[in-house]
Amino acid sequence: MIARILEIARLYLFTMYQSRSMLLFGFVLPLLFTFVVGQAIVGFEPADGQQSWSLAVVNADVGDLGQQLIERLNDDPSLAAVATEESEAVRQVEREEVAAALFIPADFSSRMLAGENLDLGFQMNLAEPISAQVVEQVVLAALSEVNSWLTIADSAVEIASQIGLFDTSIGVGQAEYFDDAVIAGQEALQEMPPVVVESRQGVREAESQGGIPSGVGQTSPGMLVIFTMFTVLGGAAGLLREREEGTLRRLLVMPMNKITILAGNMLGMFVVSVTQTLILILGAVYLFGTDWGNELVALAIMILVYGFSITGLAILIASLVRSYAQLDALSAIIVIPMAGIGGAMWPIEIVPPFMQQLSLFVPTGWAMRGFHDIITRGLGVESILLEAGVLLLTGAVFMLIGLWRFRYE
Amino acid sequence: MTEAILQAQGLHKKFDEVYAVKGVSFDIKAGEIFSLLGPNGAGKTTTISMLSCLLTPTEGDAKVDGFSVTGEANQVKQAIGVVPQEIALYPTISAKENLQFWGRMYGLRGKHLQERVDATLDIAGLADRADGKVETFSGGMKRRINIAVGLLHNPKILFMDEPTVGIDPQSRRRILDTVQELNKLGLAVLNTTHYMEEAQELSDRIGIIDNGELIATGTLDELIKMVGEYDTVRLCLDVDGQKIEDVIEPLKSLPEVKQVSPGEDCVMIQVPDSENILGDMVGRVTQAGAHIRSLEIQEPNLEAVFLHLTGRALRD
Ligand SMILES: Nc1ncnc2c1ncn2[C@@H]1O[C@H](COP(=O)(O)OP(=O)(O)OP(=O)(O)O)[C@@H](O)[C@H]1O
Ligand SMILES: [Mg+2]
Repeated sequence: MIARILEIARLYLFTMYQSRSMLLFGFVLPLLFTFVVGQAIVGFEPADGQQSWSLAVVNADVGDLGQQLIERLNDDPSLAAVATEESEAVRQVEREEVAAALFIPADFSSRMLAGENLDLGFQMNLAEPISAQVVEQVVLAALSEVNSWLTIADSAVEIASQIGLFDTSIGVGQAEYFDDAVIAGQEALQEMPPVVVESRQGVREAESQGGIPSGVGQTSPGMLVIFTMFTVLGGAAGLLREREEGTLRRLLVMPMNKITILAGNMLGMFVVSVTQTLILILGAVYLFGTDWGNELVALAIMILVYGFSITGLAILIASLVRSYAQLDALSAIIVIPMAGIGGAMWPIEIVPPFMQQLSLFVPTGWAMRGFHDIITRGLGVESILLEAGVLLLTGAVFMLIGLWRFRYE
Repeated sequence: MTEAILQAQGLHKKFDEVYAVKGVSFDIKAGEIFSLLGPNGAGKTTTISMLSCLLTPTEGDAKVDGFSVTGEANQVKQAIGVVPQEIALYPTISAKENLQFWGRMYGLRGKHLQERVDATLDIAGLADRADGKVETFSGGMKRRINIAVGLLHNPKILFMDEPTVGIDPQSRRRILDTVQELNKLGLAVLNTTHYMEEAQELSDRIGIIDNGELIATGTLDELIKMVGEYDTVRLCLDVDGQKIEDVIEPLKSLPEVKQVSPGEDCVMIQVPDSENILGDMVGRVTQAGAHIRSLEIQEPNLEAVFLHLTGRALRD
């Protein structure tokens, strides 16, 4: 039985890799998409990468704080804040040259100092909503930092006046004192930055820790999840074609168990999916410098269980549809929505919460979750055990139903 | 009397309320070629499928090489070689790779496998095309490889389901010759066909199957005796505005005519001695206002037997 399973799997692999379309659809296209789509959603590349967002800033502030806010913004390595004219800034947003434009009003300093509410104009580039959102967060963080200096200085003035510093004729003006306090606060925050770290952390969170994956870090796992599924479904369609062309029938008149035939084909699908995954990962790493993390054991587990689960899914679908042609026609209708729901087309973090919940019902969702634990969040084996378990279990259930329902005739 | 290698006993197969095969029983002796002759949809493939353990009989059983098709499938499968009606080969790999794959599925390994692959390639006459992809082969070549696969494990009996459908006369000739050679070496054959010439020339014994029932079994001579000394006259009319029915009654009224079976634009007439009555027949038809396009006298053959038994022509 084992020998026959291996032989059927061998034939499966041989005929699969023999076809030129496998080279195109299995490897070339997914790598191409990884790169091209990766460029398109590069907006949320993490801060330590080479990529950065650009922000046009129109500074109308008559005081100094506007300029300081700009400097603050430029302290963030992922952001390039460039001061421009108002009309120019609007034009840049419209032409999608910048992620957003920030308008600092003339009374920015005075209102900040007075502790009044103020509105900053912020215009998003709607073509890149994610980038714009992240930029907005960076701006808010910088604002809160500027605000912290002022609060510190206010407190300092408060204390000074309480101890009667301004009552005497030492000659210390309250305004000068305040300015010094601001500078002192600024330096203090920079040297021992608990507050800064906290606010900056919030931004980092959005980029990498909490996980909006971006660029090839998103498209590399995304495309491999999509395209291995296509390949494996193609294999299942091939099995149905064998049923229609009579080779399956011929296998059935050979002295062996029926299950042997499906087992051999499933082994073939599994091996094809694992090799395809490996090649796509290596391709992304060496061609586009994709960071696939350092957790090789976790990665190996994810690759194996994902291959297992889509093999189960493929055999299940093959047992439900009528014909080769039907499965062939259906495969895009099956794969694309599953990829979208699971977060393989775009980061799951950008969809509304109920859609994120939905991703828990598709294997692609669990696969992407596991891959991002490794790539985006840099986590290890313990973090992917749940994902691996879910994929293994659903794969096994799909497989059993598929084996049970498959019609050989 | 040699022992039977195959005994079918009351095989029935029902597909959704309709019986495709109803009560087929026959024996095949070791070393014999047996043909199931019948029109499309007669139940030939269904019968062969039950005998090769692909379909479970609704009723009845069969023994092949002493093993039951319902209870001892693996032993039966080891004893039979099956050549399906369709070309069941992998088109994108070579003839040799196909044979190697199917040989391994039969459990053949190593040197023995190699020997059998070479031997069956020789039988198919395609040793020189062994490395060619099957998809590049002609229809006849594919059929030959299709048969070769059924011979890989040296079966005791070969089942062939319409092995010569849709191929050119030379390839057909070749295949029939090959089957006869193999038969001389002791291989029993169960062949299905709707070509009466093929059944007639190839078979030791013939079973005529129609509507799921085996309506006659015997050697060619035995079957022909059933129609007695009748000749079959095939008379075709110019159809323009002419109804076949118009000539049936006049023909039937001739005292010597035993049976008249209408077809599309021809009638089959069974008569004891055609030569004496030919003139009368032509006269009656012309009187009825019909124009004769062709007239053919056939010696007693399987076509006539089928006609005699069913009242219909084998080919419609
Ligand atoms: N799986 C099936 N389900 C329902 N009906 C079937 C099935 N297989 C065959 N039949 C019916 O059973 C009858 C016999 O079919 P079968 O294929 O055995 O005929 P055949 O003699 O091999 O014909 P042909 O010369 O066309 O191959 C036909 O009426 C066919 O429609
Ligand atoms: Mg048939």
